[in-house]
Amino acid sequence: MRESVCFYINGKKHEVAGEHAFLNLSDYLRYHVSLPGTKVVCAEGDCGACTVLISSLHNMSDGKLRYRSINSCISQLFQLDLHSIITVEGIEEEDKLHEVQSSMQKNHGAQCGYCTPGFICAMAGMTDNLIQENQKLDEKKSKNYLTGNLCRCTGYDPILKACEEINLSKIKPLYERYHNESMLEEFQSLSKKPLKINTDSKDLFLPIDEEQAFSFFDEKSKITSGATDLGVLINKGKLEQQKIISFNNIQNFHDVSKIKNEFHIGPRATWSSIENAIETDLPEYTGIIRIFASPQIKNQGTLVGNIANASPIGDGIPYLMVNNSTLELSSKGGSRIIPVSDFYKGYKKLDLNTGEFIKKVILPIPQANEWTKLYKVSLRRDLDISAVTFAGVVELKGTQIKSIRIAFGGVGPIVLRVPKTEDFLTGKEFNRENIFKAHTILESEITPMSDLRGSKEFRMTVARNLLLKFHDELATEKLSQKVEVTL
Amino acid sequence: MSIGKNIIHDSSRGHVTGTSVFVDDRAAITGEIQVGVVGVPVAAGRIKSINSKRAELVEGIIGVFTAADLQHNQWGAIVKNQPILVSDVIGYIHEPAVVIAAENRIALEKAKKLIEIECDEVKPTFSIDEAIKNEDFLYEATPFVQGDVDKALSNSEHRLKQSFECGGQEHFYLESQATIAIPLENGQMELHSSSQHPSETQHVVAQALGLPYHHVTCIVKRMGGGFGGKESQAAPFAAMAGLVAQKFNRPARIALSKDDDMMMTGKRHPFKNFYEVGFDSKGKITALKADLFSDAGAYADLSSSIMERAMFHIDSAYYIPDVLITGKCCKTNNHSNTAFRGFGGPQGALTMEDLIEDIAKVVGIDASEVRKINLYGQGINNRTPYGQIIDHNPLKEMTEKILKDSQYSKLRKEVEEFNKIKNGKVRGLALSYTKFGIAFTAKFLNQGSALVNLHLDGTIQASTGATEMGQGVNTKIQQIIAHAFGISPESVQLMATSTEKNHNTSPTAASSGSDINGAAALKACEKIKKRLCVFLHKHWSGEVFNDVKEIELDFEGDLSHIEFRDGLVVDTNSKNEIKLTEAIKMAYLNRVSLGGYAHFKTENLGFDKSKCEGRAFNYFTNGAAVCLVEIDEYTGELKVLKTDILMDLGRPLNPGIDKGQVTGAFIQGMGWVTHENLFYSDKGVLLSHSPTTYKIPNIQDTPREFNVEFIENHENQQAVHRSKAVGEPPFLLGGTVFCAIKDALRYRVADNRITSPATNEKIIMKLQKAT
Repeated sequence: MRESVCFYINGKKHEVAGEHAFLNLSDYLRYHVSLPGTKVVCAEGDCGACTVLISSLHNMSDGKLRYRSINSCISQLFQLDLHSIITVEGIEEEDKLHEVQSSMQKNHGAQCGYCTPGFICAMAGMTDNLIQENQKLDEKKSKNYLTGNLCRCTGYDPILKACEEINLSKIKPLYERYHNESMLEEFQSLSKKPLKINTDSKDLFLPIDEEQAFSFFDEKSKITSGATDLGVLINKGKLEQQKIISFNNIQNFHDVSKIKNEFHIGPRATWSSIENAIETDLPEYTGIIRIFASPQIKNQGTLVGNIANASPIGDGIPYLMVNNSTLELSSKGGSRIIPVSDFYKGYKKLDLNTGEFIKKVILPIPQANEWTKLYKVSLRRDLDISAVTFAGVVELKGTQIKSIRIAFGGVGPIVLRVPKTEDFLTGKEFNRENIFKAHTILESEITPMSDLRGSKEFRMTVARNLLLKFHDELATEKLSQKVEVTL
Repeated sequence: MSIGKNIIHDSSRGHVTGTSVFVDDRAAITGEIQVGVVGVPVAAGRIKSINSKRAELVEGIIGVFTAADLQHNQWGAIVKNQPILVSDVIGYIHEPAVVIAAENRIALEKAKKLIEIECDEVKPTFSIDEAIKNEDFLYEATPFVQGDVDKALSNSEHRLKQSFECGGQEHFYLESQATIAIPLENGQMELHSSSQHPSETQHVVAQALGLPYHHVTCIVKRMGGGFGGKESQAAPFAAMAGLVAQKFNRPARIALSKDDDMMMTGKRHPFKNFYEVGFDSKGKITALKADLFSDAGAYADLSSSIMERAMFHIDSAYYIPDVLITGKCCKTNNHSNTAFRGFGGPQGALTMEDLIEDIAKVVGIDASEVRKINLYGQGINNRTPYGQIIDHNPLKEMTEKILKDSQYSKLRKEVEEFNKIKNGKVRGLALSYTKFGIAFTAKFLNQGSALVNLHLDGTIQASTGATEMGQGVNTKIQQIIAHAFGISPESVQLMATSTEKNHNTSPTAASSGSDINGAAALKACEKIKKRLCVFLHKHWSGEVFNDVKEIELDFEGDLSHIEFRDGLVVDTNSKNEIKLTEAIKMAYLNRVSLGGYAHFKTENLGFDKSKCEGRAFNYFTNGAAVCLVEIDEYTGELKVLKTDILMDLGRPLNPGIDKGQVTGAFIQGMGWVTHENLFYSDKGVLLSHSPTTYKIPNIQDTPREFNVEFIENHENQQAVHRSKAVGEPPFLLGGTVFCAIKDALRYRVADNRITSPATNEKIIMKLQKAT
C-alpha cells in the first residue's frame, strides 16, 4: 500500500501525502513549488490559461510517453499519480526557446501575456503529438488543438500566424527531451501498489484492480473519473469531498477496444482516446465530440463520467440513446447490462444501485443502411454547453421510414427519446410534409425550460428545426433530392 | 532606426516562457495576509445589519472589516459618489460590503460564506426603460445642435422614427482585479496593482487610509488585460488590500476570483437610443434627432464622459446637416458600468451603422452606396454635430480601396445567387466604418510624462505615465527612445509605472498611451541629447567646458549637424564622431546630467463644453471593414466567412503591434454584437459570470478569411512620429458583423431589425417569423 502521490514536474520528482494530495495542480504549482507561470483565470476548465501537459503509462507510443494538454485548475494531485507533468517553465530548453515560443514571440502571439503560458503548453503539446504521429501541421489542426484556450487581446489571428510558421523539423520533442527510463520503471513498479490517503476529513483510494475497488466501495464513496465537473464544484465551494475512489490506476479501465461490431469503453477511457478509436467507424459521433469540449477537457474527462453525471444536456448522451448503446453495471455480486435509454429515471436519477458502478459502455457500430445525424446548438458553436442537442438514426425501406430513433438533450429534465414522434414517423414516407406533421407530436413530448442558455420558445423552435434539418440533410446527401428549405 | 519597425513586444520572452510577473505571481512576503470581499445579497434597499461572528470563528481568520474601518469611503473618477464598502443604501447586488483578512486562501473561502448581511429590500430598477419612466438620471449631457433639426426633418422625403438597443459587455481581462499592499516604514504604503490608473489608485487608497499622497506609491508592472475595466475599478479593491495591510502592518494581497470579479465590477454600458432620421430617395441623410440613454448602473463612475463619447460618435463616418443629440445616463440597480474599449463610441456608431442598413432597405439601394454618399467630404460636408471640422479625411480613398480589395460587388452578386438556392443557409454582406476621435474629452487628461535615464554603459531605463496591459505601449516607447539615441531597442528598458517616478498620470485609456507618453519620452530624450550635443560641440570646437555652470538648455547655436546614429554621435560638419558610450562617459566626468524628465500636453484642443462646439479631438483614426457572414437557418448559428479591414494608422510606430491591436479589437467588437450575452436573474444576479456561461469569441469564431491592411498616410502631424492611436478605433469595426447579419436577415424576412447582441436565439426567432 502506498500513502503518497508520486509524479514528476519538468523532470523533477515530487511526492505528496496527506491533505496536499487534494490540492489542484495549479495551486500546487503557483503557491507551493514556485512555478507561477501557470495562470488561473476561471478555475473551471473553460479558459485554458492553466494548461499543462501530462502523460502516464496509459499514454505510451513506441515506448515513449505521449503528452496531452489538461486544465491544471481542475486536476487534483491524486489524479496525477504516476504522471509526468510539463509546465510552461519546462518548455524552453536551457535558455533556448522552443520553436512554438519563438514563433509566438515573432508573430506577436502574446499581448498581455496572461493566456500565453496556456497557449504555449497547448501548442507544444500539439507539435509533440504531430511529430509523434508523423503528421503535418495545418490551420484546421491548429484551431482544433487550441479551441480550449481563450485569448482576449489578439483576436487569435497572430496566434494562428505563429502556428503557421512553426517548423516541426526544428523541434526536439518533449517526449524525447523528458524521456526517462528510470522514471518509467519507477511508475511501472509503483503502479502495482494501490494508493490510500486518509486525512482528518477525507479517505482516498486508488485501487489497482476491480476487486480492490469493491473492498473500499460503499454508499458514501464518490467515484471520480476525470473530475472535469467535480473539480469545478470543489473549486467553487459547492462540494466537499469525503470518501473518494478513483479508477485511474486500474490498467484495463482505460481501454477502448473494438470487439466485433462494437466498441467497449472502459470507465477511465477519456474522450480523446474514444475520439481516436472510433474516428473511422463512427464519424458522426466523432464530429460532435470534436466540438463539444476542449482538448484539455477531452484529455481528462470520460464518457462514463458524462453518463453518470446525468446532466439534462449531456452532449455525449443522445447518440448513445439512438444507436442502442448499453451499459455494463458492475457490483460485488456480478454485473448486468442495460440500455442507455433506460438508465435515466428522472432529473439526476439513475438506474444504478448502491455498490454498483458503470464498468463499460458498449457502443455498436451502425449498419451502412442506418443513417445518423447529430447536432448541437449553443450560443457559441464550440465549447459551449448546448441549449439543445439532437441525435437521430433512420433506416429507410425504399422511401419509407423503416425505423427511426430520435433523442434530444436540453428539452426536459433528462436526455430523452421521443417515442411518440418516432412511432408516428415509422412506416411513413420520409418527406418534409411528414416531418412538419411530426412537429406537433414532438411538441407534446418535450418540456423545454427557459434559462440563460435559451428561452423555452427558442429551444422548442430549435428542436423542431433540428428534426427538419435531419430530414433535409439526409434527403440531400443520401437520396440526392433537391430540398428547398423553408421553415 | 527602430521607428516603424516590426520589433517584438518587450515582454514577449517573459510571456512565452511564463516568467513575466503579474501581481498574483509575486512570491508571498513573510506574514502576507489574504484578503477577500463579500457583497450584499440584494440589489436595492438598505443594509440592516452585518453579522460576521461565524466567519470570525473560522480558523485562520484574523479580521473582518466594514465601511466604518475606512477613513474615507467615497470614490469616483468624476463624481465621488460611490462607497468603497457599502454601509447603508445599496446600489446593486454583490456590491462590496465586507472585507475579510485571512492567514490562508482556504480559510478565506470558508469565511466568505459565513458572513450574514441582513437588508431591508426595496424594488430595484434594472432597465433603461424603467429609469426613463422614473426620470432617474445620474447625468444629462449638454445637447449637440447644428441647424434646425425639426424643420429639416419635416422637409425630408423619408423619415424613420425608431429605437436601437445594444447590450453591455464584460471586459473579461484574463487577470482579475488584484493588488498587493506592502506597509513600509513611517506609515507608508507600497501598492502593486493591476491598474490602468496608478495615480487614481494611489489617491483613492491614500484617502481611504487617511494618508497623505506622498505616503502612498502605486506601482504597475503590467496587467493581464485591462480594456477599460481597470481604469477606475482597480482603486477600490486596492483600498481593501491597503486597509488590511494598514490594520495589521503586514503585507496584504487581494486577487479576485473570476466569478467575484464578473459579479462585482461594472461593464460596458448598455444603451437604448431613440431617434428620428430624415433622408432623401438616394438615402442621403438630411437630419437626425436622437436621444441617447445609457444604463450607468448604480453610480456615476465614468458614465458622463462615456455618454458624451457616444454622442460624439453617433455620426459614425457620415455628414449630417441638421442635428439634435441628447444624452442621459440612467441610474439603475445594476453594477456601476464603466470604461470599456471605445468608451461609448461603439454604442453611438453602431446606432448609425444599424440605421444606414434600414435607410438602404427603405430606398432600395445597396447599403454600401448609401454609406458612400453620406461619408464626410473633403473640404465640404465636413462639419460634425459638435462643430469640429474634419480635415485630412481619407475615408473616400479608403472606401474605394476596400471595396476593390474585398471584391465587394462580386461578393454581393454571389450572396444574391447563394440566397436564391434556399439550402438552409443565408448569407449577408456589409461595409462599415470607424472614425474614432483621439483625445480625452476631459481636456486636462491630455498630458503625459516620462523619465529617461541614460546609464554609463549606454543603456537606458525609462519610466512613463503609461501602463502596459498588453497593447505594446512600452515597446513603442522603447522604439521612440532607441530611435532618438540611434541605439538598438534592446538597450532601452521600460520600467514599471510608478507614481514616485511619474506623478499625476492620466489613465492609460482613450487610446492615448503612446501619443502622450511617447511624446513625453521623446521630449525627455531631446533634453538629454541637447546637453550631450552642447557638450560635444564645445569639446570638438576646442572650447573650454565649464562644468561649474549648468549646461545651457537654451543654447542657441545650431546643433542640427550633430546626429545620433548606430551607437555613434556624429558631427556631419566637422566629420568628428564618437561612440555614444564614450560621449556619455566624458559627459559624466564633466558633470553633465544624463537624465531627463519631460511633460507633454496635447495642443490644438478647443472644445467649448458649455456650447458643445469646437475641436474636441486632436485627430481621427479611420478604418473600414467588409464582412461576409453565413447563418444556419435551422439553428441561427453564425459563421463569419470573410473579413477585410483597412485602417489609417498614420505611420505606425510598430506595424506588428498595431496589427495585433486591430485584429484583437475587431474580434472583441464582433463578440460584443454576437454572442457575448450578459444574462441576469430577476433579482439582478449576473448568471453568466464565468466563461462557461459568458462566451467571448474563441479561435473557431475567427473569420475563415481575415485580411488586415493599412493605408499609407504620412500627414498626421498631430501625434508622435506622425503615428496614430490604435487601441480603440478598430473595435467599432466589429459592428460590421452586426450589419452583415441584418443584411442576411433582409433576404428572408420583412422585419430584419434586431437588437445587439444578435445571438443565435434572436436570429432564429426572427427567421421563424418568416412563415
